[in-house]
Amino acid sequence: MDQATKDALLDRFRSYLEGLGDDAEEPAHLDGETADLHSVFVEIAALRNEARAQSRLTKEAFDQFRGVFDTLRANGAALERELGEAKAREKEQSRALLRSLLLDIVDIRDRLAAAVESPPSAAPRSRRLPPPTPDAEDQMHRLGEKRAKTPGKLSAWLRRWLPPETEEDDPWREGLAMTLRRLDQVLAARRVLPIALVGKPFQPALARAVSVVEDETAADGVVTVVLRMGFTFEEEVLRPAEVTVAKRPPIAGRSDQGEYR
Amino acid sequence: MSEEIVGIDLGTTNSEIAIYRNGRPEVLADRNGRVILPSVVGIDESGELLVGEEARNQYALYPERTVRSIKRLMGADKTVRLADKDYKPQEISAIILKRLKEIAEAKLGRALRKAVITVPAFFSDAQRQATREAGEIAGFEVARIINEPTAAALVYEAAQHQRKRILVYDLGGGTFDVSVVRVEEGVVEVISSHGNNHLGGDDFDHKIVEHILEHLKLKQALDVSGDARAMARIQRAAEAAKKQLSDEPYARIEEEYIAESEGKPAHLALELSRLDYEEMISHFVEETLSAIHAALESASMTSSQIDEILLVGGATRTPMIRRRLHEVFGIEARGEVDPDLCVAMGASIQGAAIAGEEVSAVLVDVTPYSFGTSALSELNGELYPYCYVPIIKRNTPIPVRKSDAFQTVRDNQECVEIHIYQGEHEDALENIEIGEFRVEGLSKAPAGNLILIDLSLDRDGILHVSAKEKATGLERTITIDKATSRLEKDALDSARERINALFGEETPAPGEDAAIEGEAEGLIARARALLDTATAEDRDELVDLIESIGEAQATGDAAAAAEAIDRLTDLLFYLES
Repeated sequence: MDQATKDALLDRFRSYLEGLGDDAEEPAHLDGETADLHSVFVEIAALRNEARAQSRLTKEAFDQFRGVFDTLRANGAALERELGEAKAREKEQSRALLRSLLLDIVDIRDRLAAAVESPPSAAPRSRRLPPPTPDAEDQMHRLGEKRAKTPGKLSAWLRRWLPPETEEDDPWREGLAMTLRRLDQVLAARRVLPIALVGKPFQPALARAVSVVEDETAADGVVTVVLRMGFTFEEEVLRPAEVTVAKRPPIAGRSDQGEYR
Repeated sequence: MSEEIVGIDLGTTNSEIAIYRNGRPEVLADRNGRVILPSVVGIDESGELLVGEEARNQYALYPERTVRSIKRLMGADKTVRLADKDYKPQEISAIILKRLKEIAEAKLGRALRKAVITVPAFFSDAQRQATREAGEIAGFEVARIINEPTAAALVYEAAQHQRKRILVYDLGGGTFDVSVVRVEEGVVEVISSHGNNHLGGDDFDHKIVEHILEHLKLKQALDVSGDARAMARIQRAAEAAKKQLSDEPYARIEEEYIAESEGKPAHLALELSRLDYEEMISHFVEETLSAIHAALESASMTSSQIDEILLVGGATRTPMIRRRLHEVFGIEARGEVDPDLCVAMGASIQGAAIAGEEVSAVLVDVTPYSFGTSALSELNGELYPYCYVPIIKRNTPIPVRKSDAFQTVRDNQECVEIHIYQGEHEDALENIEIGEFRVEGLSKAPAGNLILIDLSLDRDGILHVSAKEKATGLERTITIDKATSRLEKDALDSARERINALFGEETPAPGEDAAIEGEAEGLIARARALLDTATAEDRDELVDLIESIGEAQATGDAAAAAEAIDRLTDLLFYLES
């Protein structure tokens, strides 16, 4: 570009600037400001939409999170419930197994107790039988009489042929009684306890009345004999007892009974 | 969720309550774990109400304050006297129902409102109405009154799509009922019913008690009939022996120190064989068979028209009953669901169905095959050394233990060879041999020396087998792994070889049959995989088809094999889709 052209252009620019004047500057300034506000408003509107969209998304996200948390909580509760049920089932099963085992053990205890209560045996198995002479019984009788007259003076050899007089004299029975006591201790340590009933009023929750006896000396409805001992296990009835109960003779003429067959 | 409806078996002697949940019926227990409530009501000395075992406990002492067997009076215009007050039969039944409701609510931890209650098929409208009233007095809304045989049928077949005629044989502690039931298009209809109100398992116990008392009199000159303690022990021992004889050929009845004799302790020790026991109870069993014939006659049917027999009631565990039913009907009776509880279970299935739940029959872990041994016996009228004697029968719930007695054939026989088979064919060689062993060193005894064979199958399919010389206790045992899933190629091959050898044929070399064999093996493997999940009926069909294929291949019958393979393919398509 040559100098003349440059000058011409500068002149035109100068005259243009001079032509604008002071007043003209204001609108130009205002126009610029209007344009900025518009864009600001547009921007704000866009921002508002954006914020709205974002908040919607956030809300959705929160809703989803809430859903997830609810599901997790529900799952947790369901799991907890199932776990609780499974634990209860397991406890029930193991208790049922234990009950059945304890019932077997108390049944063996019954048999041991029957052995201890049985009459003394004349000749325990490990002792030798008396010589098989025809007068063996007479001999035994005489020995028994002799013992009655001179207690403690019989020789050990003679005592071997005689039936024991007391539990202490019968080491077999004594041993069985010791085993029975040990078994009772073992059961008690596991909170399996016998139910004491003799002399007390009959309680159907603890015992089964197997027979009834007309007993003038005992009060009506009182247990007189325990035929089979009952047991509790941790405060629950493991096995009800079987008992004989005293009852006053029925009033004559009364026959109403609860069973209809 | 729709409201839960419980099922109640309101029985003459015992009652139970069940609910259908998690896809199966569950009988609900009280806090002591007891699922059976004796149907007895009483008032104790202080005026407190007693229900169940406690009421039963006081019966001998206070019969005037205790009521039992009230079911026999339902619908009658009578009252019963209980502690100086009169009650209608439905009021007494309501007390039992209310206690069952309390047990169930305590167990489930929520209130229950609706119930299905069962009644015997022969109950009249008045008796049914009385039962409904009892339910309402107890605070239930009675959703439905259903027949006991219907409930039993629902346990075995909840869907009831197939048309079937079912005989329900119900032998409880003190009552016997037999019903002919028709099932069609989801409707269960009782066609005829017959029974005896005073016949049951208790009579079987009494027979054993009499036998024991007789034994004590004869052998030990003891009469303990007046000794309450001894009698209670004998009663218990008799009941235990009865149960033992359901699974074993002999039961030892031993009660030490049972009484005194001449100042010395006396023990009870005797052995009762199943044969002797069956002789004692045979007239009871025959009586039930007469009732069956009467029921069939009322239904205008013959035994061959019955498709299925269902066993209900604890006394049906007696093997003689199953055997006699098999002899009369030619089909195996089904009793795999606990026969004491299946009526309550069926009622709960009906309750769930009314509530709109999808219900299914009760699935029990059962053995899909029979297991047994071979013995010298008659087959088709001729003596044959490989007659199959099943000891654990197909569809028996597992775990299970059963034993049977066998005899030696020759004098001074020192050794026996035991073969164990899986299958159903009466010729043992047609079944799959899964184990064998020898017991040597038997005592020198005349022919007829007893050998007890005991089979015990657990849930993992492991079969424990023992053979014992009864006289000396000499015993040999073996363990067979995966007994329930055996049907392997080598077993099939060896079976085929044995059969071919009998016919004097040579085993054909594998050729073009190999492809068919491969296909069959694949199908069998897929079928086996479905055995645990299939319904009882599908399972039976699967097992039958597997066996048919095995048999057809063993005998070289290509047409039969192809047909069985086709049928199995169809069934698998249906079951797997």
